[in-house]
Amino acid sequence: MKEVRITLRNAGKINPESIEDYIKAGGYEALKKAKTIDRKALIDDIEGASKLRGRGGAGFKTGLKWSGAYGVDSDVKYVVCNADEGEPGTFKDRTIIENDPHTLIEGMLICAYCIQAKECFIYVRGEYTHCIELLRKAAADAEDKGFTDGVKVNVVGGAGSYVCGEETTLLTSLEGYRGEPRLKPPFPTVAGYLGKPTVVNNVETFATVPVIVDKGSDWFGSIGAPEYPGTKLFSLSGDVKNKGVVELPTDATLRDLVEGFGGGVREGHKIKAIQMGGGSCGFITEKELDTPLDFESMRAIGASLGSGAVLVLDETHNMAEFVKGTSHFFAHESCGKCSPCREGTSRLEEAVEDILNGGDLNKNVALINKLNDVMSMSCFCPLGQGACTPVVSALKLFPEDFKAKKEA
Amino acid sequence: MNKYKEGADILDALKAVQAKKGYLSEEDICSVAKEYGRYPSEVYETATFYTMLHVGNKAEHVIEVCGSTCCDAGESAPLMAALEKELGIKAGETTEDGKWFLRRCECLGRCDTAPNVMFDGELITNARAEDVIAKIKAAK
Repeated sequence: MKEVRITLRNAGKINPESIEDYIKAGGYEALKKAKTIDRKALIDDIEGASKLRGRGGAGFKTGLKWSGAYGVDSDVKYVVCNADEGEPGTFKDRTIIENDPHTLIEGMLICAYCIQAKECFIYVRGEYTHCIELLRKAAADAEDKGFTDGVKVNVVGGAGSYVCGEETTLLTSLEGYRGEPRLKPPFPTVAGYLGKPTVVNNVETFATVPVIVDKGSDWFGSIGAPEYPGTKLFSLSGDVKNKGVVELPTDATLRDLVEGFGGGVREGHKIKAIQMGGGSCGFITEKELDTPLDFESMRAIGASLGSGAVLVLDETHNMAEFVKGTSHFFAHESCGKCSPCREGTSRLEEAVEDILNGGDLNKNVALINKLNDVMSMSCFCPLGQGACTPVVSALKLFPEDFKAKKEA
Repeated sequence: MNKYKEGADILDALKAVQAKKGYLSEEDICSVAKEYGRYPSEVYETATFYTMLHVGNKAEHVIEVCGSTCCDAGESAPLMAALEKELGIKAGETTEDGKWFLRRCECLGRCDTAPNVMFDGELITNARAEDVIAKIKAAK
């Protein structure tokens, strides 16, 4: 399987600081083309023929989201890019921005045209200082060249908060407040930033739009898996020989990625677990390597595609130790708004620690399962709903790692 | 003043004030609040929520070791232990002379170069204990 570069088509070929380079590579032609097409027809085409689905993790249909915002009657609308890439193991959005910031801006401007928005925000996680600089320059250059055509593109930096990657939390943070999620519905397409209709999409989603407009929705829809077409960026890390970002058509398999591009694990070692989708997702084992890398196929085996993070762990890792780390992460990043998450994430971390310290395994496992039940049903946002997932998954797949600790 | 409309860059404004001395004082928070037409309590809430903002933290140097999944798998724990030993403090503590603040931070989005360290805001990828300790010695 070969890498197919659609979203990363310009990566390494152009100077990311140069708008001239981007224009020479065909940049901003898609925006010009889009503006000759009727707004509703363009949205319908993206939805119907390209079947583009959000690349941030939830896999929501992009066209449907845009048509939601398009259909709301409002004098002010916003386009917001979620560049708050905080899911552990994910660094694909950084790779897009560092290589080709203009493709993101062009995708956002196409969206702004479609829903008739006059202002765009790119919310970049605070740690990505280089990305913020690149995007600010790119936005200013696009304005100088007249591509923005009256649409203001603002680049805003976050300040270190995982939960702000959740779209309603991101909007609250964008308004300058503590990062806490809001109740849905109303969805952001109806009441988003400042209560106005807002489209929030991931960096990868926006960055893919110009190519779809340029080459046609049918072309895009014919690549990869039928229900999740196109390509997907994967952030490959952990115990593989080659780490980095790889763009593959969605009918490629996990084996193509981990063995083909990652080169497998070090000599003399074997794959123990793969955390697929990001830090909040469960584990799969070597047996599932032939699963295609699309949303539905991953769901069918009880895993998730998530943000496309693929963390490979070899047999040197103890999974109980490992999920102690993920539990700490969620306890640290819980915003504190709802009590099931605020209390639950801390209790979860304590339970895992107690197992590691030789505490009663059965009692702790019962507690973890109960926390999982309660939190997955009652937490306000996906952070709490998924916080127990890695622990429950590790307990199911690698019970010996937890038992061994008890005896030791 | 429409406080909502002015809010989008409040985090950037707080970071800019912080950049001058490494932390935010109560006076800083009040002046940013005034600028944005908000109550100081609202801005205090915001400032204390985000991990990149340090309210009243006066340590001269801040070392953050990423402890999230990929860095954890990339041996961030022994690295942290070595830094704790070098500075004589535990993660989350400041040295008695107020010079060094060491803590675990969460995912920096550099998972392909684990383990990662932020040394006074400067990123160190594929960080080795001896390299970070050398930087500490140079700054001492």
